[in-house]
This record gives sequence, structure tokens and C-alpha cells, in this order.
Amino acid sequence: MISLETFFSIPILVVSVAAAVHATAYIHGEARRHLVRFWGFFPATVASMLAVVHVGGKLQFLLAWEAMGLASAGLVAFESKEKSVKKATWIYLLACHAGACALMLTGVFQMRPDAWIAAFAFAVVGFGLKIGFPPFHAWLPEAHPAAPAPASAIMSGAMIPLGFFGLLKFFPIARLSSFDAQVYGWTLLALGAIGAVGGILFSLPQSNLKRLLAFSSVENMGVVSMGLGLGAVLYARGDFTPPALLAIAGALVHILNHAFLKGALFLGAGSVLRQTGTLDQDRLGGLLRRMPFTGSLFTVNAFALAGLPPLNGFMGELAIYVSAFLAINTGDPVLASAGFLVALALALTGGLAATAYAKSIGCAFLGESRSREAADAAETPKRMYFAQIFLSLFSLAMIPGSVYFIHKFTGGFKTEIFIMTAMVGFTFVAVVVSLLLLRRFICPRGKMKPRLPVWDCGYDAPTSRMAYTATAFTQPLVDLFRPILKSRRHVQPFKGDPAAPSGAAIATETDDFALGGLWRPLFSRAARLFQRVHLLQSGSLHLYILIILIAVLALLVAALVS
Amino acid sequence: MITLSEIALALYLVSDLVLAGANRLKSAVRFVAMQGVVVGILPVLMWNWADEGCPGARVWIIAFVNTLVKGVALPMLLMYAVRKARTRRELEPIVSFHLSQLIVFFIAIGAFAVGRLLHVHASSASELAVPVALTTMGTGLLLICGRKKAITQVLGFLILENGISVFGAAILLEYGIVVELGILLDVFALVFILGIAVFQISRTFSSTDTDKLNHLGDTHLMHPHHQHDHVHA
Amino acid sequence: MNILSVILAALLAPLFIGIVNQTKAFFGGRRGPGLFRLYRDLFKLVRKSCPRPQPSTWIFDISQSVSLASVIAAAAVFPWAGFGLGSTMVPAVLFFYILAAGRFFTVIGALDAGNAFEGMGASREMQFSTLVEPVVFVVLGFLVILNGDVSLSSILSGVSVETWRESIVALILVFVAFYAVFLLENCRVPFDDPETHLELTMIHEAMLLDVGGVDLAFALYAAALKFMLLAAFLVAMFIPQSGNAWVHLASVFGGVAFISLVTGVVESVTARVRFFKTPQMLLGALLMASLAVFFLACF
Repeated sequence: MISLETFFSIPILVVSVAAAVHATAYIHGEARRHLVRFWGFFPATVASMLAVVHVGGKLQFLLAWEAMGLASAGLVAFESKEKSVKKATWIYLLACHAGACALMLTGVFQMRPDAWIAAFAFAVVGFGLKIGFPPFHAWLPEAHPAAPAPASAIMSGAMIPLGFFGLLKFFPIARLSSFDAQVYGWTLLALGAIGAVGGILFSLPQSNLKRLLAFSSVENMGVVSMGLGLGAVLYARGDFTPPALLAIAGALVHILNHAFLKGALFLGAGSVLRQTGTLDQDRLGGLLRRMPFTGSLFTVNAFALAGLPPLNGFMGELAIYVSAFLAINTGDPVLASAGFLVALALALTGGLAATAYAKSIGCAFLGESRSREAADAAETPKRMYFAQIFLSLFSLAMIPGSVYFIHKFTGGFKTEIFIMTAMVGFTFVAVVVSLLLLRRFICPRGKMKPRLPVWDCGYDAPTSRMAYTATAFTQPLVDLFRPILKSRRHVQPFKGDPAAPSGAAIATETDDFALGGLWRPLFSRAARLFQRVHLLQSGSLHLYILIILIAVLALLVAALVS
Repeated sequence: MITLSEIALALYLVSDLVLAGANRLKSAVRFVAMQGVVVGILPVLMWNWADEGCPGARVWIIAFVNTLVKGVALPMLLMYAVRKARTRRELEPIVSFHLSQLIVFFIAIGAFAVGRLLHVHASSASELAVPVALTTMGTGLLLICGRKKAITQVLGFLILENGISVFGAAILLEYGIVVELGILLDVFALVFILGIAVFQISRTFSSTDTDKLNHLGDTHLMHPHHQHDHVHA
Repeated sequence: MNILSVILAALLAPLFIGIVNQTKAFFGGRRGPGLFRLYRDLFKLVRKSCPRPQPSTWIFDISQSVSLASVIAAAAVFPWAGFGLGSTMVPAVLFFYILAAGRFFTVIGALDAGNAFEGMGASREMQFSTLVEPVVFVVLGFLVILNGDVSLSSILSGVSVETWRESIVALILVFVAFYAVFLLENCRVPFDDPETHLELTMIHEAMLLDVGGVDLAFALYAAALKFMLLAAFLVAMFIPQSGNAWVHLASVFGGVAFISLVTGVVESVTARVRFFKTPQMLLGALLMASLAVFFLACF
């Protein structure tokens, strides 16, 4: 079996190669003037990520971790002229430093054997800030849309999961005591369930394609976390090692699958941005005809990442599902409720993810073009979609690869299920092919009618403005979950004659719950508090000397008293 | 026959959940009628056929009267009141339908926990009867408190009564019958009076929303801006 | 035996839709289209040419084939005779996820037409199928507890008479919950009406507005097969164990015919609910299934 270090190096190497190839074409026009900046930070990021994985000691790890944050912040800030990019960079830097700070505290507490809980709590915060555990995920939906697409691809595909690497390296499940493993498991399980359902729920209403993908990363990391958590909870019982290994194997496999798929999706979104100048799904549409390679690759990858068979995104989830049902089957109330929680969260996540990806495929790539930019789009340079094909080949290899990994990891536990799943998936594809052949046989090309106008209830001049928009597509679900999402709706009533209304508009906006509801108020309150301390920093030398005197005196008194 | 009575009780649970989420007055009345029929034949189903042979005439009469009154007469009366009062055919919730269903769900879980603690195992009653009775009573109370229309209060009261009857069928099989008949008479009178009252109120005030009836109290007369609520069509 | 039963299922599928429609015709006082209407419809559609909407791409062209293929793949692993094609090793999760994969393609195929009505149908389909997932998985959890294994064939191996006696209440609750899932997944009244002719109120049919010819035949056949498949799932959850494969097969098909009859009656006597009501009904189903799990686990 490969080591943890090798395992986590795979996504870094694979995704960064694809991202680098993509980036050579992605940065074009005006932006080429800052080429040096990009190619300075990009290798630095990749190198520091590899360093995080491979360095030995704790201090070196911390240094590499901090370097990784700084180097990638440079990538996020690439288009630093724009205000939103500046804001995103600040939030990202803040998250990185807060994370590093928490990790230092983890290191301090790890030196004391009785402070395991404290060390673990700070590790969850520190690594959680990278992984995107709720509510620490606030930087993800800001930084990913701001960063150039290749940077988003390596950050989302390879960097975020490194948080799990840290957790597994410094808190290996196998070495935990039973109680500690319970705490560890339930923490990851609960954070994962909230992250998975919450992440995908917030990705639904996003009209910015990259923001949608960023929230979906929160979701996928939640799925991974649920798998690890379930594994730890099962492992804590002692008697259920094989199902525990199955859940952990599922989580690890999902990290790889997510890396390849999400990397390719971010690159695809980058291609869309390069060719059309917008990521707003309500302004795209019909891109599959104009960018056949990019569109087809995006469709296939999004289908896989929605967790649907027969592609690779399903395999990891299946392992977690099977493990959850085995946990339900143990009859132990604690394990059964963990199993039910995981199965329910995965089921809801699966349905919502399918909706979110159906929306992004359907509204950005299919149907009529909704704007001039989308209508005038052309296919990208070859190397951009070759980068995606490269990642997709890895995804394809991960179908048998996942089965093999799970088989090796669990020592052959329930392998037949996964082999059978791959075979059923193969049958599914075979049936599709034979049905298509049958269809061609029944209805040969000559009998195919030329493309006709769509049915619009007898109305004969359909325009792209009449097609269903991305916002409309998700509106029923968004309305249903309004208490959580708190979407804002801006309605502009029509002007003029009611018979020929004009100027009416409606727009909805869904902000991140954690950023607007927790962090922003928290930080503004903290800023107000520190304003008072600001009085001390008056710039007057006399005051400073006085403060030093008081401090020295106070220390003296303290020393005397004790 | 235990299995049959348990099927009946399971149907009761299902109908409780459905009633908590029902938004059409007519279908709610239909489900209450179904509960009435089931509770009517419940004493026969719960009868310990194997040991005691065919039940006596008293049980049959009670079952017949119960079914007739709760399953047929009272629902018909309610339907009549709905038609006459010309209220809108929707239940207007104070507690939302989603929340009501969740509440009934937790009432059911609580009731089963309590039912287990109580250890009520009457001679031939099913283990399920007490929890189901408690759940039904809870649903009735929820409908009384959580819906606006006056007619829903009658409905809720009927459901509460159904719950009490199941309770009676479960533990007071011998003497319960006499008590049952007394309660039945009360309920019949009450539904009759309320049915007429609802009809009269709606004729006078052209609304049976209890929120608006609240304004009839003295305190509200001070605030003239409430006045226009009363003449709501 | 396995292959034979799958072929038998494939041949019989349109018949059950005929039973539903004939029952509805009986309640409506009509003579009805006959039990074999769908066979004739399919035969007619196959000979027609294939219209395709202007903005559509290869997604639209393959969507109905993929959707039908997913149902066929699910039918192939279904344990019709108590054991399917290697279904002792097929996890039950896969069965529902394959159906979801087919539905995903129907939805993006509908979006490919670039038509407002098809978008509307697709949006609703995704909404309801998302909300139905948790109910399905609680029911699966119930079956896992009941039967003690995660594979499709052991979940659907039937229920022994003792279990029937012991957990009758839980079984009834699960039956009601899964029947709601069945009606919703197959787009039947009270959630959707397969016979509506108003685009604004359609769900599944709205997605097929621009589909014609052999593609429409595929879509109709897929709907019939899915109806039978989920009805068979519902039946196989509850029929008593027999031990004999032929008896099992016969009782599954008999049960499906009965479910079709019941569905015809339900459709005749209930009105369609408003869209806003559907999530709440699904919440009710979810709560019933959870209650069933609670009973099974604690009593």
C-alpha cells in the first residue's frame, strides 16, 4: 500500500501539470504583462504543497504550510486591479494566518499528553480553515472566483485536501484511544454533514460558475470528512474494523476523484471565462455548440462529480454509503444513528448536487445563447482542452482505480460489491451504446428531420429571452430552503403602459451565511473594541515611556507578591 | 386478531401524520371519519377471540353505535356545517403544516417512550394502543391550538375524542363501554352545538376565523382600527 | 431463469400502464383505450421520423437512450425471481443511483431544447427527486435493519411471517412512505398527472415536449419500465418468503398488477395537489419512514 505522503502527492502533481498547460493559454491579452508574477507564484505554490506533504518535523511542516498559504495568496491576487480580487485576497490571507496560528497552538498542546482535546480542537480549526469546514469555509467562495482558473484548480483539487493530510498525519485514527476516536469521529462527522449539505445548498443559487464550484468544494470536503468521521466512530468500537476501513477508503478515494474532476471543471470554467468574458450562467447558454470540446468535457466531469454511476465520482460515495448501512446494521444505537446521519446527509447532498450540476450544464452549455458574448464564443486553443482531457483520463482510470484502492485498503472486504458496481456501470454504458445503434437502425440519418423550432405553446418566434434561466431553474428549491439560504430578491417593477411593459427586472443574490452572518459582524465588533485600545497609540513619546514605567512597576510588584 | 387491530392502529398513526399536514377541510373531515370507523370496530378487533369466543351483544352494539356516530353522523354534520358556513375550504395554520407534522412525529416518539414506561398491558389490548392513543390525543390538541378556523377546533376535538376512545378500548375494556357512551353523548352534543354555532357565527360575522372573534373582547373595542377586520368578506 | 425473467419483465412492462388506464377508464365510466394501447403506441412511434429542436446538441440526441438504458440496467440487476443477475453483490444504493443517472440525462436533455416549458419541467423534476432521496434512503436503512445485509437481493428477499407479525406497524408505515415515493418517481397523481395537456402544470411530460418518434417511444417505454420496476420493489419488500423462484416471480408480477390496480383507483379518487404541497407530503413520508425505523429499532 502506498504511504500517506505519496497518496497526497498524486493530486498535487497531476492537477498542477494540467493547470500549468492550461495556464499557458489562459493568460492572454492584457494579463500577459503580469506573466512573471503568475509564473513566479505558481511553481512556488506547487513546491510548497509538495513540501507540506514531504517534510519531516512539525516546525518544518508549519513553515511549509505558511509558505503554501502565502504563495497561493499571490496567485489569488493575480488580477489585483479589481476590487473584488483585493477583498478576496485579504480574506484568504486572513484565513491562512488564522489557520497557521491555530496550528501552532496545536503543536504546543500536543506536547502535553493530557491536553489531547485542546490540541485536536485547534487542529480542527487550523486544518478546517484550509479544508473549508463550516463555518471556516468563508474564504473559499471569495478566493476561488477571484483567482485565475488554473490557480483555482490546484487550490480546490490539491491544496484543500491537504488539511485532511495534516489531520491524518498528526492525529492518525489507528493510534487514538477509544474515547478520543469517538470525539474525533463525531466532530468530523457532524462538521462533514453540515458542510456537505450546507455547501451544496449554497452552491445551488449561485449564478457565478466558479462560485458554484467553490461551494461544491465545501460539499465534497464535507463528504470526505463524513467518511473519515464514520470510519473513526466505527473504529472506536474495536469490533468493526473492516467497515471502518471501508469508510476511510471511500473518503480517500473521493479526495482523488474530487481532485481530478474539480480540477477539470475549474479549468473548463476558466476556458468559458476566457472565450466569453463572463461566468454568469444567466448570460451564457448554448456553449456546447460553439465550444464542443470544452462543453463536452465539462458535461462529463460535472455528471461524474454529481456522484452518479457509472463514472468515478460515485465510487467513493458508494463506499461511504455501504459503510453507513453496515453501521446501521450493527444494531448498536450510537453506530446506527451515525450511519443514518451519514446516509441521510449523503442522500440529500446527492440530490442537490445533481440539481446544481444539471443547472450549470443546462444553463451554461445547452439551449439558446443568452447574450452576445455567448453567441460569439469560439473554441479555445487546443492545449486548454487537452489539459482537461489529461485530467479526465485520470478520472476514467479512477473507475477501476477506485475499486483497486478500496480492495487494497480494506484487505478485500466487500470487494465484490465494487467490482459488481463497475460491471453494472459497464453494462449501463453497453446498453446505452446498443440503444443508440438501435435508434440509428430504426431511424436512419435520412429519416432524421432537420432541426425544427422548439415547441413554445404555439408561439412562433421563440427567443433566447424566453428560455428558462439558471436562477429560475433552482428557484423552487431555493425558496424551499429560504430560512437557511436567506436569498435576497431585487424586484424592479415595470414602467410605462401596462399593455407594453418595459424595464422590469428581477435578480436574486445569495450571500455566504458564514461570512455575512458570523465573521463580518464578529470582526467589525472586534475592530470597534480595539478602537478603544487605539488611544494608547497616540504617538506621544512621553506616554509611551509612562506605559513602560507602569509595566515595569507592575512586574516588580507582581514579582514581590509572589 | 391482534394483527388486525395492530394494522388498525398503524393506520391511526398514518392518519395522525396526514391530519397534521392536511390543508383541505374536506379531506381532513374524511380522515377523521376514517378514524371514527376504525375506532368503532376497534373493540371487536381487540376482543380476545381465541379465549373468550364470540363477543356478546353489548360489544357489538357499542361498536355499531360508535361507528355510526363517529364515522358517519358527526362527519356528515361537519360537512354540512362546512357547506352551510361557506368558509374557505382550507385550514389556515398558525403552526405551519411542516412544523405540525414534525411535532406529531416527536409526540409519537415521546408517546412510545412513555407507553413503554407505563407498562400498560391490559388483558387483550395491544402494546401499541396506549402510545397510539396518546399520539392521537396530541394531534387533536395540536389542531385545536394550531389552526385558525372555528370548525377546525371542532375537528381537533373529535380527534382528541378518538384518541380517548382508543385509550378506552385499550385499558378499560370491561367498564370502559359505559364511560365511552357517556363521552360519546357529550361529544355528540358538543359537535351539534358547535356546528350550529359556527353556522350562526358565520352568518352574523361572515367569517369564522377565531382570530377575528378575539376582537370581540372588550379590550379591542378601544382600538377603532381593528374595526375593519370585522367586516371582512 | 435470470435472463428469462428480465425479458419477461421487459415484455410485460407496458401492460401495467394499461391496467392503470383501464381502471381509470372504468371509474370514469369510459370504455378505455384497452390494455394493450401502449404496445400499439410504441409500435406506431418507432415508425415515425425523429424531430429535433433547433438549438439542441448531442446531449438531446442521446438523452432518451441513456434514460432508457438506466432503467434497463436497473431492471437487469433487480432480483425478479428472488435473485437477479449477480444481484447478491449489487448494493441497493446502486439501484437508485442508476435511475438517478438516467433522470439526470432526461433533465439536461430537456434543458438542451432551450424551451421555457421544458426548463420548467426539468426544474420541478430535479426539485422533487432531490426531496425524495432522503425518504428512499431511510426506507433502505429500514430494509437493511430488517434483513441484515446491504445487497439488493437480500433486501428484497421477502419478509418471513414472524417478521410480519412482529413489526406490522413499521411495515405499514414504510409501505405508505414508499408508496408516496413510487407515485412521485413515476409522476402519478397526486404529484403529477401523466394525462395533463397544460404545459404549465406538467412535470415529466413537459420535459418530453420536443421529443418525438423513436425517442418518444424510448421515453414512454422507460416510464412504463420504471413504473413496473418500482412497483416490483414495493412488492418485493413485503411479500412473504416462498423459497421457490417461480412462485416468487409470479407473486412479484401479481403484486405489480395489484399495485397498478390500486394506483388506478387512487388516481380516480384523488385530485392532484398543488406543487407547494408536495415537499410537505414528502416530509410526511420521511417522518413515517423514520417512525418505522424507530419502531423496528426499539421494539
